[in-house]
Amino acid sequence: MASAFNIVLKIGLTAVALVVTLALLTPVFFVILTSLSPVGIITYSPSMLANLTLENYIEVIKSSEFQTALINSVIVTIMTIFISILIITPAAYAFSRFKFKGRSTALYFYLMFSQIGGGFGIAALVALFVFLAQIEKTTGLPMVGNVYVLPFIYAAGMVPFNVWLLKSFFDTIPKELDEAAFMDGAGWFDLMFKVILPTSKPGIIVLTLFAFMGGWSEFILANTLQVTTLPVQLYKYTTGLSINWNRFAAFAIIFALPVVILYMLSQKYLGEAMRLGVGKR
Amino acid sequence: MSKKPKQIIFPVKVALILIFPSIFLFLFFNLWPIAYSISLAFTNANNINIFNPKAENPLRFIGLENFYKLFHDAGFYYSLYKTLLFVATSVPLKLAVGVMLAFLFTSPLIAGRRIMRGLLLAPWALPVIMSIMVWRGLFDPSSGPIAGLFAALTGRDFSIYRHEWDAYLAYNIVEMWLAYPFIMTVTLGAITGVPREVIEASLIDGAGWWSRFRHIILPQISRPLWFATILTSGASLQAFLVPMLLNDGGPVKIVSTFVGKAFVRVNDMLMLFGYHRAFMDGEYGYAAAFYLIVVLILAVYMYVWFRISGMYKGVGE
Repeated sequence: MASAFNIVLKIGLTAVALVVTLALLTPVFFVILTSLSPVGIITYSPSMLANLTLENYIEVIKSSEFQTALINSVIVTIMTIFISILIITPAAYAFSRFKFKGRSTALYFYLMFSQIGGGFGIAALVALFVFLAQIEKTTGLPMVGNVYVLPFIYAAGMVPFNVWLLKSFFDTIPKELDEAAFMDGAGWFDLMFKVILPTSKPGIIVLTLFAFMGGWSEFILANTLQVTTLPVQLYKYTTGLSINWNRFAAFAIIFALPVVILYMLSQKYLGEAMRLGVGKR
Repeated sequence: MSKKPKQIIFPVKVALILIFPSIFLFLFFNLWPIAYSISLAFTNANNINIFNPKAENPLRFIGLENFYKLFHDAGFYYSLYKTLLFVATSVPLKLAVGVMLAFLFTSPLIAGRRIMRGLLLAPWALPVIMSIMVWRGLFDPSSGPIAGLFAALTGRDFSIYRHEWDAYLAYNIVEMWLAYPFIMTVTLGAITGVPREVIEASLIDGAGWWSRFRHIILPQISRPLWFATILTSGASLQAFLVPMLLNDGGPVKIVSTFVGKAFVRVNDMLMLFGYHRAFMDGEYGYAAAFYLIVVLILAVYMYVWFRISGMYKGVGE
């Protein structure tokens, strides 16, 4: 009797769980089906599945708006990755190995800022915009709408948290390694690029992931500074007078695909980052 | 003393060179705008006089005038009211859904619960701005399936562009969808932390499911859940992307408050209200003053929460 009851309960609970899961995934089904439906149609019944088409994807890829936004996004993302690695790695190494005045103050400040900085980002956005527009006015250097300025701002925003993150990676690399290389006559440059960088690969990969996620999907700054990256173009799709949701959906999926793939692949590295003690800080 | 080779010396000069680029960028793009923003709050800066010294109304120090204006702005009070209301409704909703999902998916009676749990983390895997815009599609008054569903249920048109509370409902649903993975994961982690032996012992002692929940599971999950509540209510208080991307804080309406009437975007949450003052009205000084006040509100809010949770911690132990 008890086992029959258990089986009924199991079927019932599984059904409930399945319905709940499917209901919460509505946006995912919606965007996929809409992207595959002919223009003006949103597929919601099995009988409509026969009409599915790739036309939206082809039209989006062929459109100049998409191509321009894609190029901007690729430039911004690659530059963000390079700049952040270039400025954060040496700083984190210095914080890990050197003793100097103000070291702990700076570290403490970075920690505080990385906890509360996000919320104040929008508050400082107005001033950042005015500041850049004024530089443009007085020096003639294009700042607003300049795709090459944005990555520097993104990398600057990454500094506090990621210096901490990478510093804790360097702390796990034994100092003896530096010393041995130093005894063998290696200079600072060799030490950094031949000894430290290769051993801190997991840390650099995590940094690259954060830089990618930031550069690829950041919206508010890009929109305010008038750089049409993919998310900004996606927003423009939804604010027109007549919205083509099918094209929008195809665009959205192309935009999200790299993020989703990276999210899945990166589970391993993020886990490794936590094991190495990043989470403890 | 030791036989180890002499310690290498890390010269301070090298350290400073290594740190300089990051500090410079950080100061230039993060700290300087914050300082600049504070100074703008006491000026009449707008989108004309900030760039043109010969403007009719030239840039000047105006003391506390912006703050005076802010405290007499009906739009500000309406935005504050809407934001606090949003915290009051969206936080319980996020918590309820997240906690219920966590409890549902710990039941060993559900076949394939691991796969379903993984799928439920979809809001984490997708870029937030894309998710919100997809929801905008679901709520589109003419073609959105969820707008259609709500219209059929209520027997009237459902429009996030025309009805104040339709848009408000949409914000709550989207905010819940974005946040439930966090609440669910925190709760799941805490539930799994309850040792099996304790539960078995309680079963042997004849504890019913309610007393088991009340005395064993609840104490275990309440601390992490408090912490999650603080964080997620901070997120609601700073709602920006959800109102902006769904309908830009609309629709517009004349509202009346105790300081008078104003023509406002009725769902302008605080963060978005300042953004609109700067980039719709071009009132940079006013927006900077506004954000200074908002940052104070945020600081007080977080402080109070941490005090409450700290006191709670003392009582619970």
